[in-house]
Amino acid sequence: MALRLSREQAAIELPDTEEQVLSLPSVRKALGEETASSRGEPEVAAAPEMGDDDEADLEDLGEDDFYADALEDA
Amino acid sequence: MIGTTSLPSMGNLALCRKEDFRAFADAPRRSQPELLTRAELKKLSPEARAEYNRRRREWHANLGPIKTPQLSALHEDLWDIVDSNLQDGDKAKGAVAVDAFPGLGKTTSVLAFTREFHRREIAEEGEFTAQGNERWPVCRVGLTGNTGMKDLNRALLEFFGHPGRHRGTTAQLGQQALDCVLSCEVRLLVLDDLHFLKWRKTSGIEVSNHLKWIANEFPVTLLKVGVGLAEKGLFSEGDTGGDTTLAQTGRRTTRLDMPPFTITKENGRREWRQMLLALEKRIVLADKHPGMLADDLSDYLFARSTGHIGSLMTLVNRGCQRAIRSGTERLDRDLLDRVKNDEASEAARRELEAALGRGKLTSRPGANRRKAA
Repeated sequence: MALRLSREQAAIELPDTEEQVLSLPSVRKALGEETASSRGEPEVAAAPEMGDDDEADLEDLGEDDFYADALEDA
Repeated sequence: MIGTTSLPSMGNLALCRKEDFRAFADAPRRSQPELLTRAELKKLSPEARAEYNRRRREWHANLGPIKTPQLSALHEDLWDIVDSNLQDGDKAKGAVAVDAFPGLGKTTSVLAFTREFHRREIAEEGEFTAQGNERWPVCRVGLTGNTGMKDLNRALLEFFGHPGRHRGTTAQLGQQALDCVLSCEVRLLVLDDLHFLKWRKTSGIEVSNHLKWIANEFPVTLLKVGVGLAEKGLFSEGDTGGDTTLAQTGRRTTRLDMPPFTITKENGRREWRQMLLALEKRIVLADKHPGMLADDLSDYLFARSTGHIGSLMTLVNRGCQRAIRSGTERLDRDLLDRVKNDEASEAARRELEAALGRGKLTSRPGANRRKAA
């Protein structure tokens, strides 16, 4: 019985709404949302797109090219 | 205790002492271990493999500091302020406060700056002053809990290894600290973990006055690092309750921030990917592949770290240690799921994963939204 109750409780605690998703301060900061009053709708990600490159082109990239945008050491 | 070398181990440094600080500042960059394939790993003798793994452990434990946009911006501001503080000794110099949440790389970024500043000043001015004293362009003190004036003065003397640091009144210790700073021509005084002070209580006012005395008397740029310094009144303009004592400290202090990575805008997502590429490039695991972090684990790592660089570095470091120890030789979700991270990140993880999992958010720039493994 206790096991069943704990399972049900765990299910209840899952973040179901957008409000819950953005409830922790660190999450709001990470998403650039400082306060509840300034909170806007999160930007909806566009459908995955390949742009001008296709899979074959990407696979042809050398390792140096792949890491060309990597940040440097301080 | 018998030492076999005059150089301290980089893993056993206390940066609140001058010799250790110099060892840190002068240390050459670590060289990245060569990346071996699984076949090459198998050919290694047990001794050679143990040595290779030891080098990889140390390498992964010391990734960075990486020149993130946040670090670059902070350094630019610090150079502006420090280089503009060339007023004569009779004029108070502006102070700086790096005030940000934990896990955002404050101390790491400030230490990287102090290293560059130390090197530049020594290169330009020499290791000794005109009077023949050792030159220490940077003095760094880490505050402890309930630090008061006397503790702060003693910590300053501890940096210089002053023999009189164990005895004396607060004022005497303060004068000795001033003497050290003047003799060694310190130009940058770093007070780390300043939030340990009890601001707005008796000792807070005292220490605030003490900081003002340091700012007035010591010919240094005061660089304060801490968490929630604004809330503790460091930048206060004073109030009707009589806390005007703090006002002058606030007027003379420039506050600098260290924001986390965010993914709400394309620019932020691009910076996050550049950060992951930098880490991925530095990882030395036999089965790593281009895109292992930057494509396959981008959303996952953002959820696990909340965009906090400290949490990200911890997770990747621990993941690499486990990948080596277990023979997995790559980072993937299965392995990282078994790696524990700091508590704050774990609490935020579920919420972010929910948003990312629903497709409401993504951490990947538009041009890189390939299907993740």
